[in-house]
Amino acid sequence: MIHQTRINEVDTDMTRQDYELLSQYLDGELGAAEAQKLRKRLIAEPVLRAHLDRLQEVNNSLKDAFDAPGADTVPPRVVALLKNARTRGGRLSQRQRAGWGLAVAASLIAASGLLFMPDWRQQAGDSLAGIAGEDALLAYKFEYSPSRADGWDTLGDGRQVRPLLSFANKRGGWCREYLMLSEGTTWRGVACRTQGLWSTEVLITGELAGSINEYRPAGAANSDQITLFIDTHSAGIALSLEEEADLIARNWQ
Amino acid sequence: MRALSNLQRDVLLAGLGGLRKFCFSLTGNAADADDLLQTTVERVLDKGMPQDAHAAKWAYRICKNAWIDELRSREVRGRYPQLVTEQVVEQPTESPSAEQAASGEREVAAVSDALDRIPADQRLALTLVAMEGKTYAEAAEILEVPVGTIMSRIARARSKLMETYDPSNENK
Repeated sequence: MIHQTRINEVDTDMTRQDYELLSQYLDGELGAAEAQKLRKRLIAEPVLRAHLDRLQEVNNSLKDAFDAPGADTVPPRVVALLKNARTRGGRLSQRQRAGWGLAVAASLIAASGLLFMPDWRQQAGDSLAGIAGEDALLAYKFEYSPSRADGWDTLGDGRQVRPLLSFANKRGGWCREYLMLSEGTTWRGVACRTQGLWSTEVLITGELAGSINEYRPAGAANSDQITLFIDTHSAGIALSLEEEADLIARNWQ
Repeated sequence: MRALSNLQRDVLLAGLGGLRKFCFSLTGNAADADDLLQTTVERVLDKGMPQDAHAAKWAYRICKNAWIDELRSREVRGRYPQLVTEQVVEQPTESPSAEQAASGEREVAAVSDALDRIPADQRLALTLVAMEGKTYAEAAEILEVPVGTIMSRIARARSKLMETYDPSNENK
């Protein structure tokens, strides 16, 4: 078989150690010095280079095969299962529910604190990546779009975003609270800019109640997570629109 | 074991898409992926998780266990090859888009077939890193093995894949 011959040709002189080395290189797990050393070997050793190319080809193929549209589409029944699940936080009281139909305008002022989950970002970790983590489309909006009380900015992939406010955090950086509509789900989050990169620090699900200017969090602790994140991390009150526009013009410097 | 906290539930909701993709890359077809995802969520809700558990990683771990259980029962029932075959045969080819879809399905089937020849522990490590983009450290945490083990499992998985799968043949 042609395929088998090709592999045998490439496999010549390959050791298990080389396999592991190439594999780590492909996965970005080699340290800078090791990677540099390997790159030199790749120039000097065509067999090793050919093997890396083949590994890369197989790797791309794996990604492509399972990255098809719909691969991450969750059946509504599974979403419902989780959404309706009983949690430790319990159900909301009628009074609490009424209080959470907050107007977006009200969120232009940093809210006073209730309960902050300091490990939220770490907990959310990879989960946020596909929704609002280190996300180039979202980051672009955070970098250049002013906050607004209504209307939406549409991203290239169809998601809709509305920056709500900007504030300085205690680390000397900048953060933005925002709403996002994605595949029928409404999200509310806060992203912060660190060393030029926007990253979502807290993100909750919820629903827009009544008009599009009202947002109702999905769970009791949720509203607290946003308001208390702001309260805990904000270095002062939210920026005025003029201050924010000035900051955008100066690339948040 | 306690029930989920609101925070853990929200983290799971936020990560369901990624988990579905993980299920898809393990099972190789949409229907089985949906079933595996549902089983995972049901188990998480049934058993709960410790208050300090990392919800997303916990769910991946439960998913991994559910998939291994499923593989074992499939082995007993001996019906897994039939599922793969059904998936390929079902595709229509009348229009370009249908042809494209069929080509995508064939690609998934071919890759799945190659992955099926790899031991489950190696496949899980490879799937988490190569397809889900996890770091070795994250994969090690999910699979509850040392990072060095992940490293060698992935290398062995790739070595095995190279023997049985040639992407250039699939694209022709």
